[in-house]
Amino acid sequence: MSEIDMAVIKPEMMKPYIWLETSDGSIQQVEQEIAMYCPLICQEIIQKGMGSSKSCAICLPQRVSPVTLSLILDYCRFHQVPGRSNKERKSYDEKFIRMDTKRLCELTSAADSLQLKPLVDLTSRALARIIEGKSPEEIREIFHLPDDLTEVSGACENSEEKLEPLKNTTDDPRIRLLNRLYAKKRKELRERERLKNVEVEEEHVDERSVDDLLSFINGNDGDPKEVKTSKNKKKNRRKKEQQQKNSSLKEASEVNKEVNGQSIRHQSAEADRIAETSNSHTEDVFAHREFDDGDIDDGIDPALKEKIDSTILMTLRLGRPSLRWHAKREWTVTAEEVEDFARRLNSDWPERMQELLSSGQERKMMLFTPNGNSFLRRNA
Amino acid sequence: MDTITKVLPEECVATIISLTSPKDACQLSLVSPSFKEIADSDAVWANFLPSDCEDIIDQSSTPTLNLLSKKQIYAYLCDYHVLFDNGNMTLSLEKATGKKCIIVSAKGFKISWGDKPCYWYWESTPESRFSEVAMLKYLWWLEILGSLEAKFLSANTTYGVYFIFNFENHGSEFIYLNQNSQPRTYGDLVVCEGNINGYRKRVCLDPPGEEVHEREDGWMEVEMGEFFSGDHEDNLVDFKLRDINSQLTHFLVVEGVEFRPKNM
Repeated sequence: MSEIDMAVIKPEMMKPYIWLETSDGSIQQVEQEIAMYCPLICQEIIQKGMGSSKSCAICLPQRVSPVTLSLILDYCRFHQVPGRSNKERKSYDEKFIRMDTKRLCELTSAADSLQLKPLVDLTSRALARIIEGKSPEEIREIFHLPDDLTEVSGACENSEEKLEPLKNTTDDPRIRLLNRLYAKKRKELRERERLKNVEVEEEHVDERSVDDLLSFINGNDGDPKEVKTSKNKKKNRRKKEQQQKNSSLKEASEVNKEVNGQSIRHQSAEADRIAETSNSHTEDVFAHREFDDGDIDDGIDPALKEKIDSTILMTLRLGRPSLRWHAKREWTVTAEEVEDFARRLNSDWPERMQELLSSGQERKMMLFTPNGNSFLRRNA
Repeated sequence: MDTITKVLPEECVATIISLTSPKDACQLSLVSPSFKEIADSDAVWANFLPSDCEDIIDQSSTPTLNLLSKKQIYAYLCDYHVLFDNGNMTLSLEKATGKKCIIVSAKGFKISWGDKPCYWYWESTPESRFSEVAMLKYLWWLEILGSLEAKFLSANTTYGVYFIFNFENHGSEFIYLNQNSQPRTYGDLVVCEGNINGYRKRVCLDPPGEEVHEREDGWMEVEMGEFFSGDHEDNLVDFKLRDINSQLTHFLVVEGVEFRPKNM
């Protein structure tokens, strides 16, 4: 259709419109000027004379959905205006691509099918920035892809077979690397299986040692210099707490002696050693601690605090009759001993609980139990 | 499930991957089999290789390298090199960025009195990547000059220039020119790019000073200077080594000069 024809047919139209049909069958009218910014549409209009009416609407490629079409038209509407500066265009572009990854992919696809190269470049670069520096797992997450490189289809042995180490007679570094990757993958798969099989365990074995728990309660670090926590804001307080911790540890060892009066004699000697070596132990134990426990000491009388500590200690062990301690110190507390102690405490337990709750200790105690696992892992 | 490979055509995915880095492309090949196919494709890796790489390999001593896939070529060039320009230069790539590393052999230098066999002789040694190395056995006047056209290097990169050499003890054949103090060999190193005068660096080559490092290939290297390769392909980079102290005690063996991207 020539320009003269169009002028004759639609003299009253200031801006000629064309009709576009999207993948879902819906047809819409778009200003010709804007639509022509897309090379494919331009081609259709000029070479094939399509789009002048509803009946001969230009069929857009399947990858162009109504949503992406409106985005593309927004882009075209802005950029086809000749008078804009480069800075303006760039700033518009930066705002334009702020959308979720899925939409960005669809947009790239649609722009590519319409041969709108500037938009394809823009969106491709945005996606490249998203992908950059990510690990394969992260990328799978972003694009919701299944991990089908090592999918466990049916029996576990199937996937294990794929990950058998290759023979490396020539000691090729690439094969070495591949074998290492396979080993890692096998380990991951085993871990996943294990986690699937192990049901949520409410009861877990408390593997922390006495001083660990106490120091945690007191919010102490062994050596302020050693700790590399980024959230450590209250170093000064912790130095003060150091002394309190030592005294509370002695209390703890006494408590433990009480409890283990019936147990093997050498364990009481262990308790003393614990108090002495607590400093050095907690250094590495708390290297990775993340939460801030400095405010535990707010407004609590130190003597009371010591008592509370040991109470909390024993409370945690109630219901966990058998305990395995830190590998260095084998120390088991029998069920009877714990029950005995619990009975002794139970009399003034409600009172202590009140004190704890009022001084905001409750939160700390809650942190203790559910986070037990993660706490352990950090110290492992 | 909507996956990126269903939404986006392969060429688009390849374009996106080629906008990332070689390391990302390797990571992406671990995501899924369809990703692997795209991430390992020539379409992606041709973008990571220098644009004139194919031509250089064609004219090199190992043109069959071009038969490999682009990714394999990239891997090869990171760990090994190709000899080109009649065996006077080698090309390899920096692994992370794909930028060119060029070593110019001593044969390409202008060595003063280099053609006089009483001072210098040329020998082939197995340790060298070139067919011949220059050996200085009698010091009278040590001056080594060379230049490299910037077109051989990657654009918009900061390059360090390194003098590759070694010392060899050939026993009593030597003439000690000055026996009063401990013999040292100093070198004056200069790098100039285009018309800009580089600064002069004085380094003790023997015994090796702090700036002298041992390389992985057994040679020693010392940084002569650095420059920024802009967009101008016709720039010439000059480098110079001049001795200021005539107390050579060992044979100076010159392998060449390396241009290597510097990570800033």
